[in-house]
Amino acid sequence: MVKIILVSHGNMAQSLLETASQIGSFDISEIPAFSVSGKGDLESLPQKLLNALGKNGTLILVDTLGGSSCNTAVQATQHLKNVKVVCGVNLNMLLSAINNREKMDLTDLTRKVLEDGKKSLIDISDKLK
Amino acid sequence: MICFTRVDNRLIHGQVVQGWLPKIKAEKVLVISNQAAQNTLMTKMMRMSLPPNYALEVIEPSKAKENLEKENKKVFLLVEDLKQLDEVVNSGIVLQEVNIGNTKYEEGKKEFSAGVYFNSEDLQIIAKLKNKNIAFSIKALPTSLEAKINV
Repeated sequence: MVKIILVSHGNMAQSLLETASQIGSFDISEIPAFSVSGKGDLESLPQKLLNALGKNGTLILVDTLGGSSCNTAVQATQHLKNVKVVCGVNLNMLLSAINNREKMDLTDLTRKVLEDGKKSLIDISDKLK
Repeated sequence: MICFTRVDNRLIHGQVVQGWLPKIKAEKVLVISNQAAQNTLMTKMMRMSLPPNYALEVIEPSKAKENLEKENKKVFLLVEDLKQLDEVVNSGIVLQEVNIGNTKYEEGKKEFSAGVYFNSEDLQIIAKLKNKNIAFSIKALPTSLEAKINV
């Protein structure tokens, strides 16, 4: 199973995880959610990420490109082979990652999560016209 | 020409791109960081997160004067920490105002504002630079409440 990790500014990672657990069926304790906004959070993030990595690949979902969450996750894992960092996480992406993490390897899972994320952005008002 | 100076150990990140750049008429971001100047991955990431209409250069503090002297663009000067800011000022760059956005948290540092921590060495640098008529404002974002430093 591919390990999923969330990293964000503020409470987004934790809240996104809690929200996802109200929709999807999974054990919330399997997915670490880290913030970069508290005292010392950014400095301790690299070690926390390394400690949380999975044996069969790790997909780190971060909130935004260019944010400290993304920058630090990329730098902390740059030399690791079986880790991918994807930015712009939303609820659909997290649910997609959770639902597919057992049946796909890291490469396929990453592709699937990105695809589902892109598919989730819809001007629904326009569609319903 | 420098139009804005900020001390921020996170360098180019959300607060800079989303919060400050839209409020400042800069054409280029000049990052002063010994660490980032040596790190191509960091530079690549910063280039990706900075909107393409801004120029970007990442250099060591020792190269700031030479770089700024030949610069025609309006520069957002983004310095990693107070030590390197001090180095830039010592090299002969004249600054009037410096915004402090984020500083690295380390054991023994005191919190002055969310994300801003100083030790006695930092406070000494601030006091020294204040004597050179540099005004400091501690603010994460343009809309943040300013924190006061009494040194």
